[in-house]
Amino acid sequence: MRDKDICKILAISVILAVVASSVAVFSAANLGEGLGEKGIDEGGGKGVISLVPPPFIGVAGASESEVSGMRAGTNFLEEEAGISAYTNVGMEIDLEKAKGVYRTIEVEKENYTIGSVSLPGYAESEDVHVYVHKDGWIVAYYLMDEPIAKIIDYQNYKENGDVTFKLDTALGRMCDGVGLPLFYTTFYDFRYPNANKLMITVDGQWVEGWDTFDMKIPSDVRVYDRSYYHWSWDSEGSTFRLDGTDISGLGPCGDCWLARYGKLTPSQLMPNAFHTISLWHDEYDWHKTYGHACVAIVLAYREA
Amino acid sequence: MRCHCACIQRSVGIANEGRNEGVTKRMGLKFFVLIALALLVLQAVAPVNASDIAVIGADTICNVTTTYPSGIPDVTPRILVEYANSISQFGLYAMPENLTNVARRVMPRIIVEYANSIAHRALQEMPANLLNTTKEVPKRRLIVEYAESNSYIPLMYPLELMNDTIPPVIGDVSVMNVTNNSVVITWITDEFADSVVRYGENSTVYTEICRDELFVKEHEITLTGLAPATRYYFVVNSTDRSGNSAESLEFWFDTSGGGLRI
Repeated sequence: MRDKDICKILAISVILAVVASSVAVFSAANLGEGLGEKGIDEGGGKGVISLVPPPFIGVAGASESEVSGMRAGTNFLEEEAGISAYTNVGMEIDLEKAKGVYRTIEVEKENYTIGSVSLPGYAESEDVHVYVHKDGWIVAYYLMDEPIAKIIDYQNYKENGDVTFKLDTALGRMCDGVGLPLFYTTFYDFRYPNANKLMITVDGQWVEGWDTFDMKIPSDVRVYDRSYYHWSWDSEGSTFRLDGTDISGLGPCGDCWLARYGKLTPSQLMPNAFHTISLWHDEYDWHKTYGHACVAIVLAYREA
Repeated sequence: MRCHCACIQRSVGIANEGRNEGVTKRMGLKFFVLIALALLVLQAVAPVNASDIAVIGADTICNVTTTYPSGIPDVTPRILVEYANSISQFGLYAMPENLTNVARRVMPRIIVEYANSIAHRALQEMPANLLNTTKEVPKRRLIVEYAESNSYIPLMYPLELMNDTIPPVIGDVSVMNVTNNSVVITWITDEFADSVVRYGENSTVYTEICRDELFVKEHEITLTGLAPATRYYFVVNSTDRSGNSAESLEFWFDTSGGGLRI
């Protein structure tokens, strides 16, 4: 009898606990719709809010199913992605095929995968992270601590000025791997929700000597990110200067690539003034003339 | 020449007369010799003045004195033309009246000679179909000169990819820096969203709105132009990049001072 009483008491306690927790969840859900000082006080303070999963707390590994109101894994992009290129191939993707494209698989879930994709001719440090969702979405991105300029596919930059991007190459490789065509690419930087444009300016020196260009940023243009990429091929030496100050120097390298990228500070590209970007290139072998050096300035900004 | 002087004729008459008288040839010859000797003596005694013109042995001496008629003005230097069939003369300093206005409109101009072709077009008049185009050109732009290549990429939020249907969560609504005509309202959201404050002098009736379209997580809106010593009611609103909106409960503040209350 005593055991039965204890069981009854335990059962009633469990029921009461379930009812109490349901009330708490209901209160927190209401707070999400219209949160004010009053709501916080009556709901028991901010601690109550933690009962409701915040929209971006459900990381990729938290659940196999789609996070309520969001595509699975996209919150992962919000937390780690910087500059990104995305596309939708318009049909379901076989994730097993996608996994065959990765150099390294980083996340493997029922509906999506994330991994690194190598680029022909580039070192592993240039690998692009690629998110693939089985419903057709592919996102290629660099991590949020990387400068935007890293996306420039400098090994395929030609004297005619056409610029291609590593993110495009990675998307293309993934599409080829899953056997679907790549129709379009759109860019976005998850760090800068207000930036709506990227500007990539490149200057190359194809014979020995200096080359310069000038840049002026109006004060009322909001620039969110400034970065550079400096590279050379078969060069005895190359120097990139900004307003007379050395920013990057590349040593001698015959028949090989050297490259360096980095961020520029707002004070290095102050608005309302022309800035001179200078580039020096010295031929590695004086009787050959196919070496070159280039510098790119990349700005992410908001255009009215 | 004949009409000039009677005195010349008289001198000639004297000479002829002496040559025709032959009757008293000896007498006359002696007399003539004496006269001639006398003249020679006189000439020797009284020499000719240096300023005089001496004429000796001439058949005819003619001395002409000319005098301009009075009343004729001094002759100005002029171009003399001889043997021409006709001479025409135009005064250049007097402009015809009907050309006076034309001459005033002549402007400085560029002179081009020997070119194969010259074309010019007025630039100050813009075609009407271009007027709207120029208005659309943004005033704010980046300027790049002398670079080898310059390209632009639009950045677009992956709306469909994210498939976000959850509105932002609003918290920590605060009123700061209250003056008699302005106030600063702040709040936070758990994701990037824009900032809107709707306010008015009556509860739940928000006649004014202040908006910042930039996506932020820490929001700040300054209301200005408020009436002093007046109670205002307001709500804050935020919409995320996917278009999901959230709105706070109503708050109020007095421009005369005081804190946040419901």
